[in-house]
Amino acid sequence: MISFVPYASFRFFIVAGILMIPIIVSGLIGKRMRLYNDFVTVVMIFLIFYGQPAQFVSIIIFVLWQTGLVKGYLELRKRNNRSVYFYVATALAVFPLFIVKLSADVPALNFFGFLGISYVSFRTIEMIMDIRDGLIKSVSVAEFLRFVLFFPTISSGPIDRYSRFKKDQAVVPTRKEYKELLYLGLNKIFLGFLYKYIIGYLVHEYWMGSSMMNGNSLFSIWMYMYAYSMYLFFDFAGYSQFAIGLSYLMGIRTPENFNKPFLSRNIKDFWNRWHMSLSFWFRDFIYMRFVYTMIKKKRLKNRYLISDLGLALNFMIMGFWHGFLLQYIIYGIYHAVVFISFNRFEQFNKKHSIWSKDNRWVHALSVLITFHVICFSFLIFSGRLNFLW
Amino acid sequence: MKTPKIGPMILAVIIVSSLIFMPLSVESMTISQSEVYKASSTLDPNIFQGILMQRKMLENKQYLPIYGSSELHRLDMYHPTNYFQINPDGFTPFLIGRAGMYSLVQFLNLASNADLLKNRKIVFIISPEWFSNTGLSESYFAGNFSEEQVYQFIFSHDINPGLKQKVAKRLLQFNFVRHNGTIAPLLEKIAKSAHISNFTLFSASLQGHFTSKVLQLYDAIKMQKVTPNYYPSQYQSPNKKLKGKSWSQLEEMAVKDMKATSNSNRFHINNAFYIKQIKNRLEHFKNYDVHQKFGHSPEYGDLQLVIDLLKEEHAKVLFISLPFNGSWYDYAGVSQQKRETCYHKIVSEVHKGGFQLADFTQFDNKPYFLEDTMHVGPEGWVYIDRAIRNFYNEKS
Repeated sequence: MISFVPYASFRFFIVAGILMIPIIVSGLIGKRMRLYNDFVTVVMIFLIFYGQPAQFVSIIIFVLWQTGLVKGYLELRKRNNRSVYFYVATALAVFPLFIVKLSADVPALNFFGFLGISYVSFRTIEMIMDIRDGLIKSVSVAEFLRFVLFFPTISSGPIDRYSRFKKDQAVVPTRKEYKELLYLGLNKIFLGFLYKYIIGYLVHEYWMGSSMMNGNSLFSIWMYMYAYSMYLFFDFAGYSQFAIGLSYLMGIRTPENFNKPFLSRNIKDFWNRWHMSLSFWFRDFIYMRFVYTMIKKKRLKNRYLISDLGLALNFMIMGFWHGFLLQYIIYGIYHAVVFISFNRFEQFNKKHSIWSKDNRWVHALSVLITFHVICFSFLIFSGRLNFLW
Repeated sequence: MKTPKIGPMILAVIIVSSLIFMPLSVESMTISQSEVYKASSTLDPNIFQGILMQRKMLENKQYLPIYGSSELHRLDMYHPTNYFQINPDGFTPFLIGRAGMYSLVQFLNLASNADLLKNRKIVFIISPEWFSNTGLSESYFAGNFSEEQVYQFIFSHDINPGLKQKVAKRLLQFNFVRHNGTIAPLLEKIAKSAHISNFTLFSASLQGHFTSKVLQLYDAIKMQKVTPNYYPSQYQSPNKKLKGKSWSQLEEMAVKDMKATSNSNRFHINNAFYIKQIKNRLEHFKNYDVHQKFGHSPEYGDLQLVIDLLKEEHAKVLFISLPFNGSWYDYAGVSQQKRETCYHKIVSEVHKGGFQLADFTQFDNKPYFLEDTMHVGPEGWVYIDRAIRNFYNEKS
């Protein structure tokens, strides 16, 4: 069957490019043709999934399920803000994703799932959380579908937020604004080509694929660690550039995903620069909620302990989210441990000032250390160390 | 707002397009002559999957291409590649073939560069095992199928439409070809076997041209560095002791080598191979091929396609017909009569096409030409070297 994975073939770019022409033209005269935009979404979703009937059916069931859930919970919430409704709704929203992740261990569950379910699930879970907090008061089915099925980011994000997305949908950019969006969007798409199909490809082909990487010697694994980290970044950052660029062409300012992550000076800094839309999502909806609930309910007194537990939970769930495989779970634990240790160190440093922040040599050293700590986590993530366990 | 800089984006589009749409002739210029020389004996499958290296080779009269199948990998010291290095005769054999490369696969190889075949001397080795009831199997074809070559065939103007139609029909008999959304409609059109809407045809042809150019670019990149693809155990280096020997001396040497290594069994199969693969399962092989007729096979039609193409393009061809290992096939249930039918059909097909045939099928019931059930061994190569040498030195 002809593959139509987003941003994976010339075919995708050519078809998307042609469908974009009317959108660009109307954007340049300061208009937006909603009906045509919706038409493009339907066509693209169809093309992406029709090759795999199982995925096609899965996404339809998924969308129906989530629509019912969001609309249903919204109605309940209006009448009564009971916690139990919220927890049940969240659990039900996570359920399809849980099934898909479980299928990594239980092959019998393979019948369900589609490309991008991990990312699309975030969109609806976030909506339920915002409904609970009273930030979303009404949702029309059309708005919901536009958000959930927004095709430029359907396969791997970046993860947008409903209220932000809705604002971009409602406000049509002026000619001048659209011109800028168009320019930035195209620029991003070209940058995506450079990242994913030139740098990422070359790293994959000639660095990761070189014979130097064979065998399990310390040296080959060490080299693989750098190669894989570079590949992961350029491949994913390239993809993100495509997704954001295409969003811009549609007048939607999808948030950024990366901000020079390998120049981070510590692990906290790293998670503000790496896969940002994901880490911010986790920060807002797992870590913050956990900390907030703990403080409000006064279950624990020690706020450092609360924070540490929040971080542990945060990164554990992130690990599981990547897949129910040992390498991802260890990756999650590793980041939790590193993050918590760093927090402790920072507290210690505040008192004793052993690590100056303004010295540029210290800064360089911090970047170097952080870089290696991160690359090692990607090595775990890559599965290259799976022979150890 | 930053001042828009459209220039770099346009430049990027131009650079990428010119890389992709670079003409074949420019792409082939990127391959060095030393790489062609290396490629002549590497048996790197990327060479047979591509067009460019073969193009470069056909353009250079120094090379004599030998099209064949798995026997080409038996690179002992008598193998043409080694023999003609020790006893040079003005040409270098260029090997094109591996297991499963039956006539239809070789057809696509030859058709991809049909414009270079005129008056070109080439050697084509036919194995009788190809002519089984089913001929080229789906899996063998899929494993040796080159999309790049098929597009080249589809868009070629160098091949007669009648022949093109026949080949397209034949290709469409394979499931994986029929299921290729771009190739199938283009072939259907050539085969005139189904009605294809203009839109489908247009989009398939657009996509086909584009894919074809992308594949050629990959081809050019891969051909910058070819790598050997044979087992070290099947390789001997050229040996000086073959220098200046007469054909009968060489034959004597080869038979002596063979005798010592194939004395463990009555089929004169190489001892190591026999002990590892056959000895313990000998009973299993009794009559195991009895259902094979070898008289009717799609392969006869496929060979005819090759002959038609070579005739049309006025190539100068030496066909070589290899024997079965008679004593082994007697045991496997393929009678002498069946084998003779196969041999005769090959002879008549090649002769009808007006081509020369070096027929070695009289070695069917004589030992040592083959080194196992089907692959040419030292003595076989000596005879083949001799046939090739005579063919090459003929006044054309």
